[in-house]
Amino acid sequence: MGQKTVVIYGAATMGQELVQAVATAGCEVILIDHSEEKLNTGLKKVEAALDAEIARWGLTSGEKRAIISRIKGSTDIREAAKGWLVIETLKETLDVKRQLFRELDATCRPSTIIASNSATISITEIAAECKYPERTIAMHFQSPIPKVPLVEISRGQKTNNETFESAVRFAKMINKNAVTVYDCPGFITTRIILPMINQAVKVLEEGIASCEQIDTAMKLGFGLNAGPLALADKIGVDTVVFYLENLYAETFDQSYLPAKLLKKLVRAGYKGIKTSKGFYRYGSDGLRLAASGLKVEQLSQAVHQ
Amino acid sequence: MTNTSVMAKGLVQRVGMAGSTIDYRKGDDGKKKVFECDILDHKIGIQKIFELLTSGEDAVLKSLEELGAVGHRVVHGGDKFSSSVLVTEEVKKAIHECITFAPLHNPPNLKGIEAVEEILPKIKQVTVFDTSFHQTMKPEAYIYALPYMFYEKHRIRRYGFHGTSHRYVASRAAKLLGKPLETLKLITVHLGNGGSVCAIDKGKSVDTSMGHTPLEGLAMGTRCGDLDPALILHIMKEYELTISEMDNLLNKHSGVLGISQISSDLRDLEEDWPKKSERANLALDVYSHRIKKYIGAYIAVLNGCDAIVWTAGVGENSPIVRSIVHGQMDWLGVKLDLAKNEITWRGAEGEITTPDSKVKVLVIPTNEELVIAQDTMDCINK
Repeated sequence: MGQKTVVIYGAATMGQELVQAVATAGCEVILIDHSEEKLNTGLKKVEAALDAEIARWGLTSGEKRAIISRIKGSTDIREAAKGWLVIETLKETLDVKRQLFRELDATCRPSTIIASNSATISITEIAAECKYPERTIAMHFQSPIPKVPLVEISRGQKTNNETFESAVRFAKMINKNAVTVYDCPGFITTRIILPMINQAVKVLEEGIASCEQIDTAMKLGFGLNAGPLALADKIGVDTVVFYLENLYAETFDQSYLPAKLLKKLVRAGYKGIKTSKGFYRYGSDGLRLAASGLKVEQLSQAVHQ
Repeated sequence: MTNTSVMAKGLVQRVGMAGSTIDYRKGDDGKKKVFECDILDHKIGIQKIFELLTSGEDAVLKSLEELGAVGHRVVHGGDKFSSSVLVTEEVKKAIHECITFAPLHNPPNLKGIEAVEEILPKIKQVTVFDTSFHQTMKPEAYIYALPYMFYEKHRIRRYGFHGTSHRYVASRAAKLLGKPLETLKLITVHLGNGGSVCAIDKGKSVDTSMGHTPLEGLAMGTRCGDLDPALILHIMKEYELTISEMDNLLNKHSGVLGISQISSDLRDLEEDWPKKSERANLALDVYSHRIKKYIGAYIAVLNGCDAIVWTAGVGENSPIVRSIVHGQMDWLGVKLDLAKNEITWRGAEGEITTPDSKVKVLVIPTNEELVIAQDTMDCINK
């Protein structure tokens, strides 16, 4: 432990993926979540993800044992003091993140770097109530984190060079390419992908094309791994709305005003893969069912079911 | 070098990771002591080695001043080195340039050299390359049938590995046969975790089974060896595998482990042989068949063969594999003495063929450390 330990706060999907990626790269990791239940579920899912890697020949069982031995879990925020770097992956709301940063700021030594995985909230805002904001920084990872070799790093107003350089070094250590921006909510990826998702939803809403056709056109036409609607299901339809609203509040740019259908889907519980239904339907294994795209003519019924 | 004896030996493991250890023993067969310590980088590792050599009850040196030189094993020397060399700035630069060929091995090799440099700035250092022995291969043996541009631009060609071991057992075989190495045609079979076969004419490597990387050639513990390259594309497409997943599949999930699904360790498959299981037998058969095929090919390449030499972990200790490979090889002039084959293992050296066998088969324990020490001596005395 000690020098090499990284703390991940928040055991939801992003936290799990981050734990997997960081421990696989050889670092010791402590995963913290205030809820024991969420923590245990999170740790179990990390193990399941490693097993899935073995099944695809990505890891050996010996390597998995070594990775698991590097992962610890805790429900005690004081454990965060053991890391040289703490990365939070909580829900995308300013209050929640700001509160956690205040607590971490008081718990950790002033030299500990506190990073936020926030996609759309300004790191300067999140760190506003910290006593030592110079050690705060935003590191936005892209899901699925173990596979996507990218991290966007954003400096806050008060972030010092040492913190920034350590963050870049850490990115390299876990085999990610670092792209840096200056205190820009949405960074590059979220800022550019959100209007595309939003437009895709409008195209669907207006009955111009089906889910499958929209995704196929964008996937093949631009060489994307996933179409915009499949991507929205993956990110979570509710999260997409969160992101859009945050960025609209930040920029007052009309392209971030959420399409009506997005909000309707969220209200009806169509939140994407995590609820087994969104723009598509999914089996319990998270795999998309064939020909399950939301039909325009069924929209009104679908959301009132 | 007229007189060689081992003063101490050891092994540093898990550098930079949690739970790093150093094994150390005084003399060739002193009691092994394992020290657990936090070895954050190669410099600290080398510092600890120097400490063990000079202090404590098992010290073998009064001070580091007594050291004459330090020899290093470096995995890949590309086509820049055909022999061991004294370390200079240019040599370090060249090793650095070879990182692209051996991204996992050359960087730590280089770090070891630099760490010694920092601690003992005046000492002479020598590097011994795994690849240099095979630099005598001719283009027909080392050029891949790919667009020539890859060779010209990126030096993509066959390099071969385990050179230190093949070279050592070849010269040792000449001694055992009582003939000058310059008159012999030899085939050496090095089988450890990885494995390779080498065709040696008059002491020079003319062909070897490993290629640009140590993945080519024999079926190994977890590596697939020779394969229809179209399969890689097919499997990646069918299972939607990423490059790193496919890399792992070929390097860590294949070989005898992949076939048997039991173990990558031949000893586990040989337990109760041939009654263990059909798959264990199949893995052993595939493993052995590939070796047989290479021996046949190399007899053709050499246009004859005086002796076949087995070495390293499996080569020295597996009468079963040796008997499968050499069974029914009498047309090629190999007649195995089954009794001798059975008892020649665990460090034993000697011939395992019948007196009337035209081609001799020898088992020779390898000694790469000795070669490194001798080369180091030769280089600093040049």
